[in-house]
Amino acid sequence: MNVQFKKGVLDLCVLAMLNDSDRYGYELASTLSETIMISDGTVYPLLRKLAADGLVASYLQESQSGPPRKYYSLTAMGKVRLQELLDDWNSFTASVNKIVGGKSA
Amino acid sequence: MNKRDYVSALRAQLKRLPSNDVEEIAKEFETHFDIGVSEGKTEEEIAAKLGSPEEVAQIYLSDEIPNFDVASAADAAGAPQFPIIPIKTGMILGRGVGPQTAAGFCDPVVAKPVVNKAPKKEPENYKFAHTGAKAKEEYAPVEPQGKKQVDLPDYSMYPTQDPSRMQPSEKKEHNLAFAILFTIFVFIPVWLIALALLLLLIATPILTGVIAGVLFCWSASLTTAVAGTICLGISLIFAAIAELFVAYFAAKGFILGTIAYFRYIFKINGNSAKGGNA
Repeated sequence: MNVQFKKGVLDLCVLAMLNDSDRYGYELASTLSETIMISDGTVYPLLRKLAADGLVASYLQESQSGPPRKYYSLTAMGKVRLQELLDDWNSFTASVNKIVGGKSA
Repeated sequence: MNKRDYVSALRAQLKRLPSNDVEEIAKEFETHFDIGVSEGKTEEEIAAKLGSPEEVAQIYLSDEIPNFDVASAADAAGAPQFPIIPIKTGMILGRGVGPQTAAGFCDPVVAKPVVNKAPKKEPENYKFAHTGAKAKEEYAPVEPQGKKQVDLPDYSMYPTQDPSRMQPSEKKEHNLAFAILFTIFVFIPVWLIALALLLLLIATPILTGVIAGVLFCWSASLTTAVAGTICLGISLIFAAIAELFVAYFAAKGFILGTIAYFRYIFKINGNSAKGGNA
């Protein structure tokens, strides 16, 4: 998949995942790198930027196995942003599907 | 590349950021490694999946450029959302800017321009980083062969001290001329005054003895003259011994100072004199 494309939807993916439940960086990174083939390292700068924008918050939590983990959660602002991005995404994919839907080259 | 190498490479790349931020980021990556290891992965595997420290650092740094997010500004101003000329990190930092960066690409999904990254120069040490190659032997840093690399000082700031960068003809002439002029107009007068003082210092006891002897011969009877001269002579012998030490060190300092001066003025300032001296 196109690199630009992936980066564009990365915010959306991270926010959507955090909407389901709080997650730690490693979890987000490994899930995203498996599904949309980005390198793990891309997720951390993104999380940092989302935190700076006030869309996510973080807290430390001990874990039974391994070191304490930094969990990220969605803020109220993050929820609003997620909704906007989802609306954009849905309308965009709907319009693209109108053109390319059901076709195969 | 193991955890320690990766994190320290990342730190080095992030030097421009405030140290608090660098610590925070480094800690997050250390935790990433720790969790991966606790799940049974090797540090090398984890590093390979992270992408190279240079690439990761580049993302952090580009986020730090104020007003980088041109699209938000455009949104706020109600500007039309089509290709925008984005501010590229590369333009500011003087890195290579690829042909694709002339215009941004406005991502329809998130309505932000997705800036085409300038083709980054692949760091030599991580040949296969961009492919995401998983084989650690491919990814591992290539150790420099032969002699150890030494960080050389940045000579560009001190052009005259790097012999290879000097224009041999003009630099030499200029500095040699300066050395000669300085020697004639400043050093030699000072040197002559010092020499005169030195000679006076050494000659003082002798002169004093001669003058005293002559004065006594003239002014008094023979007995007093002889007695006076003997007394004076004894005191002068002691004075001369003391004087000898003083004169020795003064002369030594004088000669060494002169040698040091000529060494300095011609060795530092020109290559030509260096040849003659060294």
